[in-house]
Amino acid sequence: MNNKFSLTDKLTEIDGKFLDECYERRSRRAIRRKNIVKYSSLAASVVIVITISLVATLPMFRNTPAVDPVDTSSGVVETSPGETEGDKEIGGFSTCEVHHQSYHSIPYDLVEYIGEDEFLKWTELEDKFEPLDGCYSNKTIYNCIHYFDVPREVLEKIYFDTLWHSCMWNIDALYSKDVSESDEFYRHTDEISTVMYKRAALSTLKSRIADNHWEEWSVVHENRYPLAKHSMKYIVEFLDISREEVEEYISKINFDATYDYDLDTLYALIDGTITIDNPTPTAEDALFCGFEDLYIE
Amino acid sequence: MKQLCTTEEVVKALENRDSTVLEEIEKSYGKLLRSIAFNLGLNSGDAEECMNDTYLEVWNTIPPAKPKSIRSYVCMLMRRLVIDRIRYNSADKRAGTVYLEVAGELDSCINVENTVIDEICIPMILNGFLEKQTPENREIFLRRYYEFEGTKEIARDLLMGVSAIEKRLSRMRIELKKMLTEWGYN
Repeated sequence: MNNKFSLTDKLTEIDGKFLDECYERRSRRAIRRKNIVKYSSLAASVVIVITISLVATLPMFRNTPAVDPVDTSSGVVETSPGETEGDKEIGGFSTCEVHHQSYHSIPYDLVEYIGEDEFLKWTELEDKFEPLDGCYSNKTIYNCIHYFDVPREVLEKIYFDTLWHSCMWNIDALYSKDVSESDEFYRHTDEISTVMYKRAALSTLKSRIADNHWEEWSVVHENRYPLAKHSMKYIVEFLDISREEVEEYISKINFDATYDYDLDTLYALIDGTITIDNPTPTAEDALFCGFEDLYIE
Repeated sequence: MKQLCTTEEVVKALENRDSTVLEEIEKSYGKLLRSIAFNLGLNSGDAEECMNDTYLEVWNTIPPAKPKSIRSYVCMLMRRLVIDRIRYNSADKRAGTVYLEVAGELDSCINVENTVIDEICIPMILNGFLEKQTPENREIFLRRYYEFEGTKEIARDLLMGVSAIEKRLSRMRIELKKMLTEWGYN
């Protein structure tokens, strides 16, 4: 090994603040995971007992839905018991048998708003909760936003700016005084999963486009892949992409469920031949994808 | 990584020549330091020696040095010592291979053959480059090129695919190369 100049060696002299930031991020992640695992082990013991008793009586144990095709790197913290890191690697499962996992997930963007320490204290509060028809925890998005009194505008901003692709919030139900509305909504696991597949397909489409035009995209988007606030109209217009190219991307993405994309409408939006009263990114995507309810479709 | 004592407390203790603080440093950062050595394929004997040398360096350099962060200071010392050890002990093929692989990736950003390298400027450019990255990308970059962690391990920890990590690293290298070229290094 010779002693010529090496950039790798020179890296030793960088500002220590970058290293500290890196270690802090890892440390915070480790704490969060420890917390998740803690819940996992608690719930796992409950699940095992119930599984054993059910297996003895039922011919086939009810399958819980597979984890949605959600980008886990977006930072959704599972406060729901039952998902260990090992489980994630093999596809994951939800120990809550009745609710969609979005009900028991708290995204990191929301944790940041609340404050990590406060949030961790909340997750450590004992679940004063009697297991009820398959749900083992009251650590839910409903209870979280009510416990911390998170304003609706804040939640909507997080949802529509960042997370709409990867989680499902029925904001009306979440802000209802009656918890049973949310409880009922998140029991429609199959329907919610289908919508999540469609959203993941849309997110993948956006990411593929950005990937193939990365130099142009990353310069003004801080090296981040498209978020919910970047509508297809915005992306196609920004990167000046032809209809044929968009069609090609669409044809190459295979998901179990996808929206019925309307390219005529997309390009009409870009040309300005179609206008919308309140042109939010999700409203633009809704026209392109053919859905009406921006919150839950 | 729980910080048992703050940087100020460590520096103060070292100024008072209190050697027990070195045990505190070992408790707080020993695992982290060891991981730098193990990532580069050093055996446990060499790793321990580098760690002891790091603590000795801490003892000898503070004071007069007053690091802003004791954690990054000990990591910097350890990294330097581990690289020196690998250079010295070049017969250790396993350790050398990891270093050469990682260094090969990063050093491709700069052409050292036909350029006069102003070594003082380089850390400044590297800081500027890191400043421009997102925290997540900074973490990926530093874990790979500062701590010599494998892309598989980084991907597993960040819940990302290995190819996504490799793609990001490749983009960051292109960006760094561009910056270095702007500064006249290529």
